[in-house]
Amino acid sequence: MTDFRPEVAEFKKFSAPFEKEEQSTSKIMTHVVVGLLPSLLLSGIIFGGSALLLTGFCILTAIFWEWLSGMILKRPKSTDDLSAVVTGMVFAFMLPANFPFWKAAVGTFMAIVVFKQLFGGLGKNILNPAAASRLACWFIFRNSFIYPEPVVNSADVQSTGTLSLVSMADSYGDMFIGRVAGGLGEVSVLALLTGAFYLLAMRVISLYEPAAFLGTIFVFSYLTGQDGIYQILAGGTVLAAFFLGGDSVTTPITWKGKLAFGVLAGAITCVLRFYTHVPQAVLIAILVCDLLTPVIDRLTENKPRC
Amino acid sequence: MKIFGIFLDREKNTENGLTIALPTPERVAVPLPKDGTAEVRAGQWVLTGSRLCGGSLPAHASVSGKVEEIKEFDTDDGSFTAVVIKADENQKDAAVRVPRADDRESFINAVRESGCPAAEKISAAADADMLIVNGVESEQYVTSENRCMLDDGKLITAGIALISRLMGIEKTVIAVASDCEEAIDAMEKTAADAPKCEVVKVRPDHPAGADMVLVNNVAGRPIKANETAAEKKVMILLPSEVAFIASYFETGMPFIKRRVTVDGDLVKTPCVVEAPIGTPLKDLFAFADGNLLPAEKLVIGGLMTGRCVTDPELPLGKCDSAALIFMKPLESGGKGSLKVVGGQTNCIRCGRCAKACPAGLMPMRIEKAVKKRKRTELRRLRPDLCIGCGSCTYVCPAKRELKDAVDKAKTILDRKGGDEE
Repeated sequence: MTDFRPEVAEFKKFSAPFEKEEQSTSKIMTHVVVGLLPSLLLSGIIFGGSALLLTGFCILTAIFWEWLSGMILKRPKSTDDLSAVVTGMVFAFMLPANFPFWKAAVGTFMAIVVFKQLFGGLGKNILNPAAASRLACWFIFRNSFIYPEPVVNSADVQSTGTLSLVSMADSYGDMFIGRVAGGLGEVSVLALLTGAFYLLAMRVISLYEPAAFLGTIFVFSYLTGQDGIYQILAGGTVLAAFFLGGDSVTTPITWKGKLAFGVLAGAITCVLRFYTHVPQAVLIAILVCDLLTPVIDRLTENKPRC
Repeated sequence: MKIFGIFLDREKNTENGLTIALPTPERVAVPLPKDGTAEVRAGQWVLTGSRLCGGSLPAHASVSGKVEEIKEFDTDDGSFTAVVIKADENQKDAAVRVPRADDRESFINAVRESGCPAAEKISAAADADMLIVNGVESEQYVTSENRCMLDDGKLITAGIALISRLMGIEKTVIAVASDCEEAIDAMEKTAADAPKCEVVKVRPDHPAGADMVLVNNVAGRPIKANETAAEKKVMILLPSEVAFIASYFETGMPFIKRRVTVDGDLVKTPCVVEAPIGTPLKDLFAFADGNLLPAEKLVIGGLMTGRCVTDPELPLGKCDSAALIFMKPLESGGKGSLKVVGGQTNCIRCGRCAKACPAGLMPMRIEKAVKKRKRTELRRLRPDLCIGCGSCTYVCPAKRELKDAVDKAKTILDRKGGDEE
């Protein structure tokens, strides 16, 4: 193929700077997808092929809703930025392995259309689409959230069929590797940390928010006499810390804001877990802090050098 | 606290080339300062170095020959007058007077007479006690100051001695980016001969060569974004300006030529040329085997802070360190071409622009406030403190034109009135 080169110079007026970094929104999103891959791999090992199928289905429906809503709302084509893939993946990671497919499709519809496109598209959503949709699904399809026992499990652990947070029966080792009941990608802290390490190395997420979030949970638990390590390992806390808290759109911009967000989210999580019977404490905490993000942003704005 | 910038892919293709003197161009158009009126008429003969106009910064004929016309150039950024001189065959120098300077006043006046842009910096920082020779070229492609440091070490020594004697400078620092090893070696030699002078290596990031960053990081004097280097008693000059001042006080030949980097993906042999002021850009590109036909982008100065022009007939100005030409980016992107890297998306609030801003601004909030025309919010965000380094637009993964928004915010704040909602 030959390049088309015009024969007459056509000088155009550009504004400085004339070169830009080879970073782009889709590249950032690709990094996040790569960061989620270890968890996907382990969920396939732990829960079997159905986990991979469900995740793939969520990704495809998310892309489909993104494309469809873009068509109907006459927005510029936005499937290229891969944010729908990330949303679909994170959403799938918070589902049980035997979740019905049609309900998952409704979930991705709510994530992409209701919680993202109706707010104005990528970057304008106030709530994290995956988290908000997952919480809504939990209320709508309450009885579908039965967590099956993983295929591979330590023989001596009794089947509970509920979130490991409630059963309090799993060893730290099992919880770290992921041999517990829970959402697809939530269970394996090891895989999540591997992906998070990749994202940190690629400078896609920063350590401020996850460190503040997990640190607050640990200290809060320690002070109130709870098992801090257990609280961190259980119930998707690590997924929320790195992948919901690392979502740049719905979290504060400055490092001070990120710290404040993490501390606040950690404190709300612990209060909900220890003193109330409200389920889905982590998700509620993250979503409440998402709502507070504009306020946090305003309070922790950078001071110009003057 | 040091100010850290961003790292650029600097593509210094001309780093190892020598300075080549440009053959006398057919005709030059010497730009005149805004407040100067031409002292020559069309048809008059001028010699190299003879004065063309008065005003705050006089202009001099950069070639000898016949004045063809006094031409008005119209560009998108405003118009200027230039004296077009058709060069003759035997270039003759005018009888120039070697200037004398015994004190501050006469020195500033002498430098002003030479037409060197350093005059304004020197007179602004007349009571400075520190001189920083700014050898940091943080932008892509630009290498003319680097070349000057390698070629004119002796002149820089003489210039530093002269300036510090006459301006009462107590300490001189030559700032060089830490990855320009040859320049550092050359400057070490220069500094050894000059009085109270040392070489400081600075982090090779952008905008390490900006006045504010130099005063803060090299001079170690904390500076606010709304203060100038002169207020902090620091004089900042480029190596080429220091070298020129030394040569001016030796020979008396005014500021009529400068080094300029000619580069870009359409230029076959990128080089640093020494060109007369007023050389049309197309002559520079012709000398460097530049192909103007598929060109789309013509940049004078660095890629981050330079200006984009649309006419290759425009003359080279006194402060233009580089002439760069680029073709329309190909979808695949060849080496060195400015690639298309994905389209613009909404701001994803990643905070890279705020982290990159040396003045501590928040460009993404300024952009949003501009869109909503919120003047009260803009007043708080202080877009007027922007030093124009362009880092915010460079790092933005959503490809938003943040620097444009900040510039627009400045004009909105300059206008009177309340919120326009």
